[in-house]
Amino acid sequence: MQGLVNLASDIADGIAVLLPAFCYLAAWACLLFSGWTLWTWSQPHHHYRHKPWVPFISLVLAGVFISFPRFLARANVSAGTGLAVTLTGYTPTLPGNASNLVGANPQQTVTNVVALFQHFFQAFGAACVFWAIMRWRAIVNGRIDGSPTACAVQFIFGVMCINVVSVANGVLSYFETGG
Amino acid sequence: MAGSIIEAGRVVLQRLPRIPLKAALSFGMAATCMFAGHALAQGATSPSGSIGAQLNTISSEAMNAGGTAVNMACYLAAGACFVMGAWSGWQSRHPHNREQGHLARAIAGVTLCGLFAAAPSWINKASVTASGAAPGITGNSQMVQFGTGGQ
Repeated sequence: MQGLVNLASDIADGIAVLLPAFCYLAAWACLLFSGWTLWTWSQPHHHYRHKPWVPFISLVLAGVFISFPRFLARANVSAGTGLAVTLTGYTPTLPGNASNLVGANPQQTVTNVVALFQHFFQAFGAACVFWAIMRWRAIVNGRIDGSPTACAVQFIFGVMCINVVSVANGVLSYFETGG
Repeated sequence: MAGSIIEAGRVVLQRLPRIPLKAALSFGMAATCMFAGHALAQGATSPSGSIGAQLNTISSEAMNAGGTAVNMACYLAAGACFVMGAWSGWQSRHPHNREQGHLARAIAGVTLCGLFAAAPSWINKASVTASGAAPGITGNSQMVQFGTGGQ
């Protein structure tokens, strides 16, 4: 069990360091795409004739990606938890101790498991949010077929993963009081 | 005597399992790559030599390469927009080009030349629009860290 926790923490570290790089590259790609699309507007036949919002959405999304942690923090405020999301230099996460997994009652055990894998859930949730925005942009631009509603669901799922401890506590309290 | 030895050797060779050449080559290349990967993993300059540390190195290299490529792309795009805009402006002065949108292309080219030349300033403005403050992600490799909230 401890090995699984260590592996999950290490994978979470990997996601947490790759995400800013992806955001950085996506932001610049969006800015270049936005400028290039504005230039093609001056051509007689351009791809986005009937979608005048395309370059401006990419321009705003460039700002979202380049300040992605702050965007996530605001999403957490909207979710009601106010969980802080910041950037720091790489420091390996110290995995939790899996030997004290079993709690005094089932609820405590579930909380312990969630807390052990919290870092992985949070990094995975942030990646989900990033991917939801990228997918929504591709749908809006007409590059892929898909549902913007599904992107919204994925976005909310990502935010819930980031706040997994709050979600778990909420669900457990519901079962405690409802049972 | 010699003939019997040769015959015995032939029998032994026939009984040996035949290994296809392609399989042997594939195995050799895979083994070489495994040893090369092991050597590369040993070269990581991380405090713990973990997956996260290795990906941090990859992330740093990707940001450096991406930043350099974007610099180059913006520089070339600014130059191209300026040249094409100026050329379209020149072309718009000819009577037979008046109705073909050359003037709009000239204005767009010169304006976008400014956008590409001042790309960092524009992404800063986009960041302020999106999140109310200057960009948090820079060209340096960083790690997303989650604090504690209303748990």
